[in-house]
Amino acid sequence: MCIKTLDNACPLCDAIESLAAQSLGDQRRAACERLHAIGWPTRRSEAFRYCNLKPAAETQWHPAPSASADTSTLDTLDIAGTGARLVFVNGRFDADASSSLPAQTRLLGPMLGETELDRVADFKDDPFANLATALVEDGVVIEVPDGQVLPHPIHIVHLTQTCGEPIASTLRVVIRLGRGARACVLETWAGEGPALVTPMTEVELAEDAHCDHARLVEHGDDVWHMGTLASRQDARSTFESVVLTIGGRTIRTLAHASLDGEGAHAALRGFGIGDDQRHIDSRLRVSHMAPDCTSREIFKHLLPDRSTAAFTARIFVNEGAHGTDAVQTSRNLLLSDQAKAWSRPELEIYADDVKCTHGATTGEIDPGALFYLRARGVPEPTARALLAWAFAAEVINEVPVASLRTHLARRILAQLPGAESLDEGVVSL
Amino acid sequence: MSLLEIKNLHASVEGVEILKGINLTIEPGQVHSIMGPNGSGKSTLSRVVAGEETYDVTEGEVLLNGKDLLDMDPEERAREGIFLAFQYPVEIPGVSTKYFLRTAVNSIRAHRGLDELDAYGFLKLVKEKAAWVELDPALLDRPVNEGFSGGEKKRAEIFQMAMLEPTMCILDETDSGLDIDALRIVADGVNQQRSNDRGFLVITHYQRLLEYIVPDVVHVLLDGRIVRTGTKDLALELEEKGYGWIEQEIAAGA
Repeated sequence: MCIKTLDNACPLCDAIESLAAQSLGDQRRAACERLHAIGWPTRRSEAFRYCNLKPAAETQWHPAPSASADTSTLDTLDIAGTGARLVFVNGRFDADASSSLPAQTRLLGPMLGETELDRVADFKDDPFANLATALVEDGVVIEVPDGQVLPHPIHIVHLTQTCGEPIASTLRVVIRLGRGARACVLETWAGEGPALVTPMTEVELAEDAHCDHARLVEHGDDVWHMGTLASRQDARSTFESVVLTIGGRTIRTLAHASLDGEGAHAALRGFGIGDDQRHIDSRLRVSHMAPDCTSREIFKHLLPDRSTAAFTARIFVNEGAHGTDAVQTSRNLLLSDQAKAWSRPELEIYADDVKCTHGATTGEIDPGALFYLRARGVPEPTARALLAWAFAAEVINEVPVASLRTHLARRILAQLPGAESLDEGVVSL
Repeated sequence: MSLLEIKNLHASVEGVEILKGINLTIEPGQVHSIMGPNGSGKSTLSRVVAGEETYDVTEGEVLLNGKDLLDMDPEERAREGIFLAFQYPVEIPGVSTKYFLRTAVNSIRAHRGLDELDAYGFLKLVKEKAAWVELDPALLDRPVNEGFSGGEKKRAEIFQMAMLEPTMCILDETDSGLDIDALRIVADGVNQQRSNDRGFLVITHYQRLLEYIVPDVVHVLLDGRIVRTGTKDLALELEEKGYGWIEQEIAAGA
């Protein structure tokens, strides 16, 4: 972030500074200054208490070079049933690998100067959110007018491709849905490292709008994924989001859903599978600003090896937001003695007549269920895999878009410890 | 050869001895019943035979067709022919009953040297066996036991038993929580499966079930030991007098 001193060069800072000179002058410079003031977070910082970023802090990051997408990688990331596929490599649009842009969609790159960034996102204290603004060169702006429905999901794919040097890149996705409009936007983050990526997605929903959103994190093992997701909703709008983590070294999601209009609904879901030293960190905030809004948060992690997961989530209920109904759930299944999980639910309530519930559990595979399956002749490894699948299925089955549900299930099945003893039939729930 | 032989079986959990020397032999085709008050060790016996690892077997033998069961994992015991119908069937959200059962059936078939059932063959078998216990096959698309009523859970257990075609069936208080109609359906399902080469061990609290599944032998389990063995008349006597008189007789005899 910055290791630039009088006698220590930082290629990334040089890049940010030259970008600031070109476009987005003040906004970029301000983000850059905040970034320098905060510096690389350590575990002493409350917001990064469970995140060991030392190896990343000690890396000299470079601006990502232009590259074109490796098509064989792209094919493996396809999601059935999607319409347009927009491919970005190292933070820049790859027209050859992409389909044509739907009418409601524009690239951010050419209009960076006149687009208002950080209109929804308010993560000024977060170094990686600032890096996302300081470093942004391209992205997608999806604006759907009142009453319009996008017929097919838009699939945004971001790949990191290095030439050996550690690279940093970002991409901004802006979703603005008019009254009663509807869209489904899927993001896949993949590619090898060493890389530091800072995805940022901003969602604005007008009255009665409906947005389905998914972020699939499928990076290689040496990618640091520090993502943010911000949404702001008017009355009766719906935001359904899911973050699936099946790749990467440290994957952090900082999310803030603000329910500003009466009767709005937000669902933030997450499912992650650990691996080796992977750390999955979710910091969520749901703000109930208006009456009669509902929110649902469910984050579950399956943790083998030395993998870890942290879940810190706050439900904020504003004065006057009566009729609030908020549910927050965090569950972790530890598959090894060395895996660890932390859950910290926080409630901050300034209204009467609200219903806020939270539950957190961390445990091992239920021996009773394991015995039941084995007593019917199911071999132990298959029984364990079935129960691990069952653990995942609870989150996946809640995802409202059927094609996405199937895709997520297949992705999970491909990564699930012991899944070789299951077949695809298990998915057909 | 006897179907099931339990010899001087001692088992404990967390250092507390629950089974204190059980001897029991079941011949092919026989139905035995074990009755006893709460805490006498009935469920422990069924779970030890099925292979639950929470119990430590400290002494004794359990043989199925002469093979040592105690050395086997629960899944091996199931493949050898043991079936335990659970008192409290476990709910497993996220796994469809059909998928689970197909995995179980094929694992047992493979052990018996039979081909895997394909989707068509499996569904045909499901339809046939589900009818035995009047189980709506649509239930089987649901996750294992999830949202099943008490009666549906017990019928599903007997249905699974029919699907897996075990040689030694253990029913652990299958009658608990059933009304009279459900009880009759479950008992009919069991009776359809009675055959010359299959044995049953019916664990129950009440004589009521034994009006429908008529046992050849009735045992009374008290404090981890079988203290009386008799015919179905013993069950009637227990129903009338309770367990107290046996306890008193034992105390008097001692």
